[in-house]
Formats: sequence, structure tokens, C-alpha cells
Amino acid sequence: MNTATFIRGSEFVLAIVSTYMAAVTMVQTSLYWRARPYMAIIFGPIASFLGGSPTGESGSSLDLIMIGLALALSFTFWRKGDETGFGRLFSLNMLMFFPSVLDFSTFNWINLILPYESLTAVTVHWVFVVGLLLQATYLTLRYTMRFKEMRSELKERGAEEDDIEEISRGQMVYLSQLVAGTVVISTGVYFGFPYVNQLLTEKAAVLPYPHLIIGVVSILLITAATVLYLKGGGNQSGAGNLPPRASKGV
Amino acid sequence: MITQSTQEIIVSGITFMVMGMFLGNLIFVVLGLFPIVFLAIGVLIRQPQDITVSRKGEDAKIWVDNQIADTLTATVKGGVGLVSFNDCIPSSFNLDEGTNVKFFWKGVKDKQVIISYRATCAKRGMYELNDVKYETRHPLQITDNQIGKAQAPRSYIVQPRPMFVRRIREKKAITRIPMPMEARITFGFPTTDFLEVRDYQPGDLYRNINWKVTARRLSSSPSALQVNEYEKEGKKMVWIFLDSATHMSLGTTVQNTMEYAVRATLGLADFYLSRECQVGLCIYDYDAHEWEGSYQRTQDTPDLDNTFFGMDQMETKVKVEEARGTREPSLSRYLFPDTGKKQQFRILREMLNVDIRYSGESLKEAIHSCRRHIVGTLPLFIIITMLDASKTDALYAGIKELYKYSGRLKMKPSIIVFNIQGYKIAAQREVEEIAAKLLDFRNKPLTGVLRKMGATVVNWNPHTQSFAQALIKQRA
Repeated sequence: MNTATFIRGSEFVLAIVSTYMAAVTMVQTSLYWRARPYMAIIFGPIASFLGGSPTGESGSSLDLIMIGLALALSFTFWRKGDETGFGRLFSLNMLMFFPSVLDFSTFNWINLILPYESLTAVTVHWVFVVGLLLQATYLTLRYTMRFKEMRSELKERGAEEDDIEEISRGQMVYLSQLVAGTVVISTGVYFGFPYVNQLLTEKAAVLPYPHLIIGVVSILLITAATVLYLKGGGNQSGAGNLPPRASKGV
Repeated sequence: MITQSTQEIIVSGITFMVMGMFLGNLIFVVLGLFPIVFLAIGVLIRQPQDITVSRKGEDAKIWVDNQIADTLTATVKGGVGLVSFNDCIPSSFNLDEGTNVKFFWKGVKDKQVIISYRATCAKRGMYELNDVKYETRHPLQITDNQIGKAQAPRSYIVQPRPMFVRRIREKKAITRIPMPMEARITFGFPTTDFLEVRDYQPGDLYRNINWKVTARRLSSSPSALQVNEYEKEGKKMVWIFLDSATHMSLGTTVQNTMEYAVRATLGLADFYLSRECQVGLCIYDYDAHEWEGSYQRTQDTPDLDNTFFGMDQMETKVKVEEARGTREPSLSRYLFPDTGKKQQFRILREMLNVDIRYSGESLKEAIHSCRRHIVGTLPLFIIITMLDASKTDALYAGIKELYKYSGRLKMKPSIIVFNIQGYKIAAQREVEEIAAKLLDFRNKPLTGVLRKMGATVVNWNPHTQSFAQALIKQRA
């Protein structure tokens, strides 16, 4: 299979799967159930046409319509295939994902503003896995788009077709390995957190500051460390020179 | 240095983490960590850093339109990512076969890549390919691309092909190519410049016998004694003045008036050198006449105020204007007249460097610069240029200057104006050819004036005539 087709196919699978998972997660949240009667006014006739009660307790045709709509939007964004399209896809997925993740928050800030009790039917692990899938999709789509741009750039610069294929294959393998590695590490951090938390709570309890301040300081330290690490990661040499291009004869 | 795109990902990660902190949500914190861990691993696996390039073969000296072949081997160690390298060939080289640029993927293992190409050198000159440019990219472009140069020196000397005229068999034709005034003298003192080894002839000096060569030849087959022949000191002198003005660039990079002028210069130099003439070369600028004049003033004007210090001036003071067009003395480009293969080599070497505006002197200035080598020799002057009816002053002034030094054959000075029809070289389409004809037609009166002045005008259209044909068709 042509690598360009493979990249496009991978993008499609990721876009559709992530949107489907986010939509399925969304339809099981209390926020969706509050909005459901209003949606039934708009989509009720179509849902009735498809069969079943639009506002039934256990999975109805209205939910299917909502999931279908989300998938249709996802397909449209995938078809665009540019940075804006994928950005919108990420926003759509996150919008559907947020109501469920809010249920697992310790402080319900939103409840202070809106009289809304966040509830979800899915488990915390389900939400975490969907969250990882959304992040992995976001990063993968972001880089596959760059790979496509690089393919055209290399073509313009006179690279041979076989070389471009080899480069794209290498990039895809590298990206999938990196995403897989990150998923493993993040899962490790997630499941290892309760144990670390236990150890840190004892130490943090004796500190004379509220835990919020300690948290903010920790975030700032993580940010600074990340930026410093990444900045020092790539020393540039010979900047200002032109990259190699294929020479043309007279 | 991290790229803009990477910074965006960091910001999104930090946002998730801050949200997680405020909501007390572990999922958000871990999701915020996700891109940061992703980038951290990405930076840990760096792009390739160690690149060495080696080149096969040796430096070469070739003729214009000959082919060169080159093979490069790039070795890449460490890191993962896209690597590209390029052997930058000069713009006048035409890539015929293979490629001089390579893009490839460097995986975990060290990689060696070989590229080879063949190129035709379409223009004379000295070319030095010192560096091979390379670029390494991080697989995800998390860090900036690294651009560098690997040392792999190679030099090519592309020599212009002289246009030989000695192959003409028509006796009548050969005799029409003018020779210098002193050409009637057929002998001279031998110099120390070696010419060739030839068979012994009665009258040759014994000390000139080359015993080593004689012994070598006799060992294989019966042969005559071999004697060394040296260049003769001749008084026959030819001066070639080559125009390097901007109008000589008419045409393409490879086929322009200047290129044909260079080839004509080499052809004429070869012709006269092979006839034991001393050939001198001088390069001038047809357009330099407009700011000519520096050579006329050899001393600074005296400071009269100091000389007549204390004396009152009776007349009102007149402000003296600076001489119009004064400029810094320009660089003279000329080769002293000499004979033999050494001189041929010197001229060839000079021709490698000649380019537009190579000299800053006008024809008159150039003659003035060489005058010490001209005086008393009655040489033949050949001016190789492209006639331009709109700018004639410089040429007239130059020819008038040449009158001072030129010998006269049948009351005519020995001056040849070799006119290369540049407009016809530049013409590509039918319309342009018509325009070229019109422009050349405009030069006809100028040709007439030059002939009246006693010069022989040779018009050469390289597209329709060979160099030899142009010389044969010349008329005084």
C-alpha cells in the first residue's frame, strides 16, 4: 500500500474511533440527559421515524442520531485534512468528553456557577482510556499532517518517490512507537499515583501551606523543567544556510 | 531550540494540568502529562548528529562540454530522522545522469548512502566544490532542523576549447589571414624554452643531441639521432585586445558573446604562437571610455598657495573644477608578449578567469598600459569586441592610439577588428533574429568608418560560420 494512503487511512480510523468513543461517553452523562428533552424537540420526528421512543431510558434512536451527527462532523473535519480541521475535531471530541471527566473531580467548581450535579454512567478507567485515546489522536493527527506536508516539500525539492516512501514509513513507525511508549508511561503514572499520593500526603501534611499553593508551585516547577529540558534538547548549528536542494542543469 | 508547534503542545499540556489542579482531577493531570512525556521522549531520541562525507576520484582538468563523474559516500551515525545531503554543482554544469542530492531515512542503525552522478561542464572556469551541504531533521520536527557542511573538496578546471585554424588546407585562404609586419624574418636566436625533440639534420649542433632519447629509440628500432629544438626568439608580435564590457554578456549563461570571444582569442593566440610569433594579451572594457582619464595625470597638481605663500593675488580667485570623470586607477589586465607553449598556457589560464567587467580600463588606457612592450615592435593588433554603433568614441580613440605604434602595410595600419555579432548569438526566435539583423545593419556605417580608418573588420556570426570561415571571408 502507498504510504500516503496508509497515513490518510490511519487518520480516518483514529478520527472516527476517537469521536465515537467520546460521543458514547457523552451520551452517558447527566449533562446530556438534561439537554436531551431540548434535542428531542429538534430531532424527535427523525428519531420517531427511525423507531423507538426519542426519550427512552435505555439507549434510544435519539442517542444514535447524536452519535451519528458527531461522526458526520468528524468525517467532515477528516476530509478537510488540514490543521484547522484537526483542531476542530479535537475541540469537538473534548467538548463531548468534558461532562464525563468532570464527574471525577474532587472540587466541583462548576456547581458553584450552575446548579448542576455532574454524573456519569461510565467508570473512571473508561474515562481515562477515552482521554488517552483523544490525546493520542490529537498528537498523531497533528504529526501525520506534518508528514504529508513534508512529503510535498521533498517532492518539490527533487526527492525520488522511493526515498519519500521510505521516509514516510520511518516517520509513521517512529510516531506509533512514541505514542505507544507515552501511553504506557501515562498509564503507569495514573495507576501509580495512589501509592505516590499516599507517600506525599504524609510529607505535605506537615507543610504550613494550603495544598492548592503546593499544587500551583508544583505545576510551575514542572512547566519550567519541561521548557528548560526541551529547549536544551536541540542545539542548532549552521543556521542560516540553505537546505540541500536538487540542482538543475543549464 | 524547540519549534513553535512544540510550544503549542506544551501549552496545551500545561493547560490540562492546571485544570486538573483546580478541579482536583487526576485524569486531567495525567492527560496534561501525556503531551509533555511525548515531547520529552521525542527530544531524548535526537536527530542524527554525526555525518561524514567522502568523495571518490581526483581533481580533474577537462575541456568545455566534457563530462565529469563523481561518487559521494555519506555515513550517518547516531540519532533517528530524515537526512538529506547535496553536492552543490555550479549552475553551468548540466546534470546528465544520476543525482547530486539524496534524501533518506536514518533508523536506529548507522547508515551509509552512496550517490553518483555525471554532469557536463558547459562553461569555462575554475570550479571548486568544497562542501557538501546536509540537513538533518527530527522525525517529528520537535527540534529545529540542523543544517551543516561536510568537507569533501574537489576542483575542476574547465578549459575553453580554442578554435584552431591550422586545419585549413586552402593555401589561398591561409594567406589571407594577416601576419605581423616582421613575419618576413624566418629565423631568430633560439631561446631556452624547449619546443620539441626532432630528427637530426645536417647543420644541427652536436650539443643539441638528446642522447637519452636517441638511446631509447635505438633500443627499439633503428632511428635517426634526436636533437632538442628550442623556441626561436622572434620579433613578430601580435597583440590581442579582448573586450570585457557588459554588452559581451549577450546570450545565455553558456552561449554568450564573451564565451565566443574567449574561444576566438584562444584560436588566434594558437594560430600566431604556432607561427613563432610573440603574442601579448590585454583585456579592456569597451564602456570604460566614459570615465577614462586617470592615466593622463601622473603627478598631483602642485599646491600653488604654498609655492606663492605671502604674495597677494591681484585677480579675483577662480575656483578650479576637478577634472571631470576622475577615478581611482583601474586594474590593468595584460600578459606580456611571449612565444611558445608557456605563453599559450598563460593565455589559457587567463581565459579561465575572464568575465564581464574583468578589466576596468578603456581601450586607450589599455594600450597606454602596455605601451612599453609595444614600442619599436610594429605589431599586429587584433581587437576582439562586439561593435556597437551607439558607442563609438572609445573604439575610435583606441584605434587612433594604435596608429602611434602600428606598422603600415600598403599604407594601412596592421589592425584587425574582430566583431562578434552578439545580437545574433542572443537571438532565439525568428522575431529576435530579425531584430538582430536590424541591429547589425545599424553597425554597417561603423564598419565602413573603421575600414576607412585602415582597420580590417572581420564579422563573425558563430551560429552560421565557423571561426576559420570568418577569417577567410574577411576583407580589408
